[in-house]
Amino acid sequence: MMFREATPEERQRYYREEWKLSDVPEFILSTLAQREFGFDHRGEGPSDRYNRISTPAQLEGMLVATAPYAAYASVSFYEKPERRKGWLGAELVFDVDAKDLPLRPCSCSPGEVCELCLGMAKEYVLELADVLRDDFALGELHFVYSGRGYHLRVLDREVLHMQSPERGSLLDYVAGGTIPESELLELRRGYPRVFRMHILRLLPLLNLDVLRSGGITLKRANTLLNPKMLRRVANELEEGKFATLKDILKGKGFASFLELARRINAEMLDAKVTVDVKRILRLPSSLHSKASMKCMEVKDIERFDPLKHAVPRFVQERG
Amino acid sequence: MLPPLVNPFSKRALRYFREDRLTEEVIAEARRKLRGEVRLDVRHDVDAPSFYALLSAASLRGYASKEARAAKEVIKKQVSSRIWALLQQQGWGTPDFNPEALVYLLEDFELLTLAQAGVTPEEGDLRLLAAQGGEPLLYAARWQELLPAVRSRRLSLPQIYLTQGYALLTLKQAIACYVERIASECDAFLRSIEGSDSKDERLEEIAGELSTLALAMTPVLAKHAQKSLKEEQFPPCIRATLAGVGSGSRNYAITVLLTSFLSYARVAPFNAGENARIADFISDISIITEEVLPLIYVAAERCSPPLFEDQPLEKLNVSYHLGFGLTEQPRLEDSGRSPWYFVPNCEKIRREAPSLCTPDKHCRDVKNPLVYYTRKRYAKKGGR
Repeated sequence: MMFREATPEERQRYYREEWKLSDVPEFILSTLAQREFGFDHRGEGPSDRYNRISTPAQLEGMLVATAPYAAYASVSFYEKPERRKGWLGAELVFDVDAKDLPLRPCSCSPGEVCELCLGMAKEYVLELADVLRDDFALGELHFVYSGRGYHLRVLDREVLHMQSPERGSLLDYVAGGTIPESELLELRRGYPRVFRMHILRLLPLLNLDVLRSGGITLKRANTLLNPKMLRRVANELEEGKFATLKDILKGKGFASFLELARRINAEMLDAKVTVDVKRILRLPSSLHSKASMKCMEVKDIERFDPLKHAVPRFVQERG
Repeated sequence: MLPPLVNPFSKRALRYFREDRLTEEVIAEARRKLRGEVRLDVRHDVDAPSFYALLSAASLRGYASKEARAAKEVIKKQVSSRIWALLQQQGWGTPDFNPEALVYLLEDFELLTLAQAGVTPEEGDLRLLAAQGGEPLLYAARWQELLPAVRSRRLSLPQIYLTQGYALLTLKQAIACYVERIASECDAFLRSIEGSDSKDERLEEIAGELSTLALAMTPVLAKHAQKSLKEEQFPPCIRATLAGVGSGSRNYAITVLLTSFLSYARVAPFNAGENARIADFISDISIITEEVLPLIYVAAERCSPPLFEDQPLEKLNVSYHLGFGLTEQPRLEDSGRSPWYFVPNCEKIRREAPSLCTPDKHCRDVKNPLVYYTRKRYAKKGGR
């Protein structure tokens, strides 16, 4: 019964009986009047935009009264959010949707998610957070379970005024969206380390089809997929080395592999969300009606299990 | 005598940013700067307002004009040349050179030596960098200090050695970041004085000289070169778009990428400049309606699902991106009703529609699909 679309009655029940103002994150409540709010009333997209909500009570009234299909708040702050004028800054956001992961550890059909791919999305946002902390010294990171994936929202003062080009470059760094200079691939720290880390995560998900689609010959792909070889490659990557990978794939094959990794890295998250400085994002605490799951802030992400903690009561009680 | 100004926007310099400071001596100094002369012995009360004169003259043509870009380049060159000249005076290039000299010189930039910042690269990394003939990493700056250089695409964050919130920089990188920061201050200043209407004829003359300089700075290739479109010379991302795109990237691929690429490739393949309008380059709208739009419509039809079938309004959006406003029937006289969107860079395409980016050997060293095309389409036989 999980992931089935919520009925209007279920939505009403959720907002009347289960939704609590205290579930709205403090980082949103404290800036409520500066954010644009958007609502989707019929499941056709957030057409009700340009709303200013000045007080928590007004938000509560709106949600309980209308039980929207989806509720959104902007990541940006405005002097006049009702007109989207007077831009004051925007959170930096990374959006990882489990249904859109380019390689998944499960056999979910397109558009579906399961425990495994949700788990992979969680591991992935944790990796992104590590890079933001280690290399960029950013600390005000908030995790949100979006209903079918995760949002990583960064609120450090330093990022709020970044424009799209800078956000794009930071995204490339964090997500491994560009190939490091070949001579510097083995640097222990800095971007090459991040790129290697992403390859390490990809290794267990590789298969013949994926490698062949990246231009790797059948023979070399088969050699690489030998479990012993994969282990050796992984061990070397942990040490910052590419010797075995280069040896297996040879010059052109190695270049194709790096290009394949870069492309998969770039598809792991929705770049449009990160570079958009006026985006609206699902409101934590609201209901993801399509999946019948709660969108919620996750305080302890290591122990968070969406299939336990983000399931509304009406789903648990469905027959 | 006071040391020469390095930052034309320092508090010390800004005191002289006033119209009543524009003496003949100041105007003459501004002209010397325009000619590329760099002098370290100019008095501050002449030097600082001459920067102001350049920017004020450029602003007469608008903050995003080619004159503004030229003024910015002149100022960047002044700042960079001064820094290098002053470093040479301090023994740069000799074993006695103390890296702290740059830290003191760029006092308003939060630059530290590695020791001051307390961060050190891994020993192995230093060896690897040195073996590649790289310059030594001598400085550390908070990564945010690099953002103006990232915004101007002079640097990208993956090119920088980042750790613990610091960007570790070579001397050249540190100077480049500083100069880009000055450039971004030029932008902010130009915006702040936009609309001010100076009647000073000398500024008008300087604006004219900036126009000449801007033209000299554009590539030698003919500005108005136009040839019919040759699909076989399109880059892989455009060929993929023409073949039809899936639902996730359809709008971006058709409305943003293909529309801008085909229009610029056909109408203004070389350096159209900011605020360009299609009507500046053609006098016959059929180039758009009969050569460009049909290709876009066919590609949209090939999308899965066909783009205009479930999103008919996207047709209007195509016209909007061509600069004709929201219309289904573009007319030359409507050109300029909306911005004519330029072709997105490869970096952006890779991010927004990763599946379209499958580079071939010609993509090497190309940062924009239009450059790929112009290199192939306009290269002389036997050339690149």
